[in-house]
Amino acid sequence: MSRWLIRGALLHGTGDPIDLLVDGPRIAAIGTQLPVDPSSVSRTIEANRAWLLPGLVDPLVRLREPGATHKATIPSEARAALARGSTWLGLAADTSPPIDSTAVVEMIDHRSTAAGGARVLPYAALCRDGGLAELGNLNRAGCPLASDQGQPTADPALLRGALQYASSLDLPVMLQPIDAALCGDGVAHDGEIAARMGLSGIPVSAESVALARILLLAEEAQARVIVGPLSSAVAVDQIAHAQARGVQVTGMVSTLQLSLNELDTYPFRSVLHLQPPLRSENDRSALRAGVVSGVIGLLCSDHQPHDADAKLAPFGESEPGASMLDAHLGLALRLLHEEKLPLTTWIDRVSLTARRWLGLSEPEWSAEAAADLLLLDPHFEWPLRSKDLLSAGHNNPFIGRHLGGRVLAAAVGEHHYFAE
Amino acid sequence: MTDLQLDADGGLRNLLAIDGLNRDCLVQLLDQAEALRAQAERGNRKLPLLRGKTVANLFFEDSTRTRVTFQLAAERLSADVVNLDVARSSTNKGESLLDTLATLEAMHCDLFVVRHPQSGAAHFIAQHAPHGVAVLNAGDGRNAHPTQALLDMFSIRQRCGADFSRLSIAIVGDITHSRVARSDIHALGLLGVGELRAVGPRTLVPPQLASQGVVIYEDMDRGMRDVDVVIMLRLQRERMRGALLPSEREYFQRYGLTSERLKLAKPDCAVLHPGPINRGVEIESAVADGPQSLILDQVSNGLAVRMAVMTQILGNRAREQQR
Repeated sequence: MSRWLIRGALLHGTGDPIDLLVDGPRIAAIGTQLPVDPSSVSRTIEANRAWLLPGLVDPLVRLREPGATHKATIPSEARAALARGSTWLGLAADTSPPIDSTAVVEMIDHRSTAAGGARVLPYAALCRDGGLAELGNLNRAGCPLASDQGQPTADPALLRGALQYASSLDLPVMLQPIDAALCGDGVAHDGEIAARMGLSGIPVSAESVALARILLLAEEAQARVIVGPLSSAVAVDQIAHAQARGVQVTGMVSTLQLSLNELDTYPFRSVLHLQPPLRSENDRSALRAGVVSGVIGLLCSDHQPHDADAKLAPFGESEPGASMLDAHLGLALRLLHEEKLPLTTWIDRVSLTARRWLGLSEPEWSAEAAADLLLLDPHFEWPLRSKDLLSAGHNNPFIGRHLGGRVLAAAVGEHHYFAE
Repeated sequence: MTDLQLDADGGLRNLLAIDGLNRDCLVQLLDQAEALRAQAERGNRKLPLLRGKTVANLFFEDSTRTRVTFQLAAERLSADVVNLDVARSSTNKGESLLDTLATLEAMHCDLFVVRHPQSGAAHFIAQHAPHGVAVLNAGDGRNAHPTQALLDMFSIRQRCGADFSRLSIAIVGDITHSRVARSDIHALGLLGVGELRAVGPRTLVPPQLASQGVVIYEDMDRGMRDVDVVIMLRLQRERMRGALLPSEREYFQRYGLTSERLKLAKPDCAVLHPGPINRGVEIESAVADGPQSLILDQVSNGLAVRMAVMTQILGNRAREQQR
């Protein structure tokens, strides 16, 4: 059992410095200037007023296991995520095989426990073979929600039934608002840059039409839904209206989508071939405003690690998605500073709101509580170089850019990470 | 894109798109094409400028016409030519595209002439081409067809003079899917065209063109009024399926270039078309074969323009290597 001590941290970034003693999976003591015999702990971290926060919860990632372990694995990505501050990861169900049987849930749980990194929450596939997946069994096996990420439900009758069924189980549903027919063969935002480069466009309506349908059906089914990852200003308005009507919905957006726009894809930067695509600056600022106002409650990384070959192709033939675990926290911090968010609001968006949706308890800061924490130096600036990447996916669009924030320590239960 | 296309002295090292070039570079190419054409007219049909060089035509999309003009251009410059019609089926993945390049590297080629159905493919190949091999884009997806734009500019200059600021030009048809239109718009912008119009149905004209200074017309009769040059685009038959257009008949009625419509333009309005033409779909035979048509001049000018581009690229490369 490891015992370790943090000295002089600011709890939730404010107040007077405190000390925290962790013993195994639990907090042993918390207080100012704890009397701890240095020889009784394996490690003492001098925090120097670094922030002591609940571990981040990243509600949408791909880890490529099972099915595509040449791209990444649960151990490689779960460890990378913990070292970058996330203690929980929500795993999309579009693995291969998909998460539509309890055997797959058990396998993922086993791999995640053995990995020693962030804990992985497998999402249940919403549908299977054109009908409903066994949502009750999957929920009992440990899936905190059902999702159609990667395979947006095209059939409205099936979606309606799935939402009603999930609602009867009180199971939240995470839906990807993409209308495949309106997407067509599109590979980039149907805007200025796609027109200039001659790339086939994905119109905003590919998102807003699918989203309208989701919101109406969720309202009718009285289901609880997370919609995202979002890409457009229209979507923020649609969700705000639904929330005003009492629909139990929140939006989700990736920190990447909040950081770049369509101009960054020029010329043919296949590392930024994404689905949904980067849209206009107007969309980006509306999404940021949505995060500030709370219409969008969740920030995700939308992490999609790839092998090198996946991106070594002309833009439209490359595989969509970016490897974002290494940059997620840095980009979230940039949002905190640039939008001058209250720190409590920021903590909600990167951790607490997702915890409520996923049925995770809010970390308590008292003796005997489970350790679920992040010790963050928010003022540290560093350049992200290829050799710094912890994710197996090197398709990170922020290589060569500066990021803020350094994780000094992160822990969830007995899994921990310490900066060297 | 500038650094991939131009060397430190502003010389052309790859030609991927007109987007990213400057006016001087464009005018220089047109002037050289003019000199080469004059030489040919004096009877010097074969020049030794690229003796000992190897040009590989890499066509990932069928186009015998275009390939033959590039082949002829290279042969007129005394280069050796390799033609590779790469079946699309074997190159569905980027890795095999790179494998193809690696294979060609072993043949010691100096220039790849590339046609590919994906926008950005030429750009991608230039980024990954073996060291010292230049890339000339012969059309990539909807993105660019720079030699077509150069020969269009050459033909317009020949007919209307070098001062483009006096000209009003209309591009008519399926602009959304046209690499020719994209390259023409950039080239005309660089040459300072007085007025540029895009004419077509809303399903085939991207509204974002307005930010490049293009005026959009959905009504062809209004769009044709008093123009000096009209560039007709080829309408792909597959556009008739699906949600873009109802029928060829209706398209011809609304956007076909007829003798009647041509009368709305300036009396000596020049008519261009990148070919091959669909008679009775986008253009009436009487216009295509009429006195105002530059369609056959375009074909012969295409040879001079492609020779000029090859000479410049490989000349600049040789200078680069001597350093």
